[in-house]
Amino acid sequence: MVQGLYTAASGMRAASMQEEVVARNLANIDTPGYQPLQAQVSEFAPMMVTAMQGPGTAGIVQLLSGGYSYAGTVGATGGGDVITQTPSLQQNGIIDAVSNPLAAALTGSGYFEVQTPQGPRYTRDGSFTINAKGQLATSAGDPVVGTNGGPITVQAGAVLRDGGAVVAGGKVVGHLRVVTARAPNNLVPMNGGLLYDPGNAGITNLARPAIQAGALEMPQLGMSTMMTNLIEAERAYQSSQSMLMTTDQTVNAAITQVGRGLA
Amino acid sequence: MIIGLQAATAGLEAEQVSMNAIADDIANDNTPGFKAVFASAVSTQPVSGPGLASPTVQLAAMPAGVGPATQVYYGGGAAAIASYRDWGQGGLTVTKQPWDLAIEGNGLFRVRLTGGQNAYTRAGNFSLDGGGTLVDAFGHEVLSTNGTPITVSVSKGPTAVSPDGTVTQGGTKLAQIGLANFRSLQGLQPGPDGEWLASAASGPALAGTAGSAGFGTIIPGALETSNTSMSVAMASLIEANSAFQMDAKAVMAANSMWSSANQIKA
Repeated sequence: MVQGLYTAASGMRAASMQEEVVARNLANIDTPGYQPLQAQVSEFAPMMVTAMQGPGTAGIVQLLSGGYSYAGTVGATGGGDVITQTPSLQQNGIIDAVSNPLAAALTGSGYFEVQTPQGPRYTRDGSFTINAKGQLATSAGDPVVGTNGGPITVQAGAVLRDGGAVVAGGKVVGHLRVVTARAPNNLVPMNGGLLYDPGNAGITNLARPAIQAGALEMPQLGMSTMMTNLIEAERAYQSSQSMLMTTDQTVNAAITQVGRGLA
Repeated sequence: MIIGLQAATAGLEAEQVSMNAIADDIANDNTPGFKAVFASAVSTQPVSGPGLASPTVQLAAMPAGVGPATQVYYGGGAAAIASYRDWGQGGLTVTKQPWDLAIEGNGLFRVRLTGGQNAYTRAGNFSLDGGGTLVDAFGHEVLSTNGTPITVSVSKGPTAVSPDGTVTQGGTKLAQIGLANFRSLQGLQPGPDGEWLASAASGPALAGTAGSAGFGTIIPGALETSNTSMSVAMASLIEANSAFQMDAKAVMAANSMWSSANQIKA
């Protein structure tokens, strides 16, 4: 087996996934509450390469088949790299004031809780409106959960206050529930910008959430950083591809030229 | 890279929808009763897989602290969803036209489409048709609180509309212009001629009269202008345009990587 080929291939795969992470972030540059992903690249542990040498060298063992094997090592070789984690950036985004009086931006940590037919889901996207049942809901129509554990029923003309109180007709009709996750990277991203807790995210209620009313949290994606990441992934892919082709040429030379010497 | 290509394409499509909404806002800057629309995007489900790639390395050789259960997420773009419409009050322009009516506050005028279906509008640029029936700018009958068309005999003298929508002629009440509101204005579906139709998402029309609880008042001789903000629209356009270009760069990067892959030959 030619290890170099696989090392190069793993580099190509890692660079390709890096580009896929950047593409996802770029596609969501205007998505409220989106938390950008980061690609964390790790190197595989290097491994030792053992050499085979001719007879007469110390440590040579004659095999039953008549060949020779040598237990000595030549040195270490890399195993390539791999994307081991894609954690979402746990930083606050840019707070953008909008015309929707029911929009909510989380200025601190945490997630809003949403009731979906599939169970509770979490999101930082606070573009809330009123659904046909008169409940405060996400743009997809799923009710948002209040501190009482159920949907918040409101009338037309309801507004949100900083801190999460929902006011309709001069009266507070509910408060938005905000939860935090001890292990936010265990939350699984789903369609519709929703996150699913597989049971190990450590969801707890947040007593005093930092909510700004009439605003949305937009992802903080530095344009120059994004473009640099994109170029980096593209060039890393090309470098690994060159390495793969160089390794292939070396193997080819070994087969054709060394082989010719034997003949 | 093919996943990156799909993610970038989804981003391009979401930005395209956003630009269409902005174009709609700018084009309707002079349309009475027009409500600005904002496209909103949500992220879609990414592709996930274990954080392990090389076929040559056993689990024991994984980097410290990383088990085979670590999920990595990549690709999956953004999807444009039902856009948010700003139902906030537009400005008022005085026209002094007797049948120009503006609603200040909540509620929509009720009109009847040619097929008999009810529709709703904030555009109060009404007039009388040949038969003396009050119609909107597209010839659809404006309905009273009873759900009937309002007919005026022009020969009987001048008419007046009061802030509660009562139409009088020579001191006699002819009819009262009806209003309607909805549980969810965001759920209204666009109908013909910029009028709105009730849907399952909006809930049924809640009829009412101008000046009553939950409804605004009618201002005769004025029109509600579009509530599009040109400065917001232009800023959003620049933003959508930049984002579109960046997504295009991601498509190009994926293309170049694919081309590198194609150069590998056995």
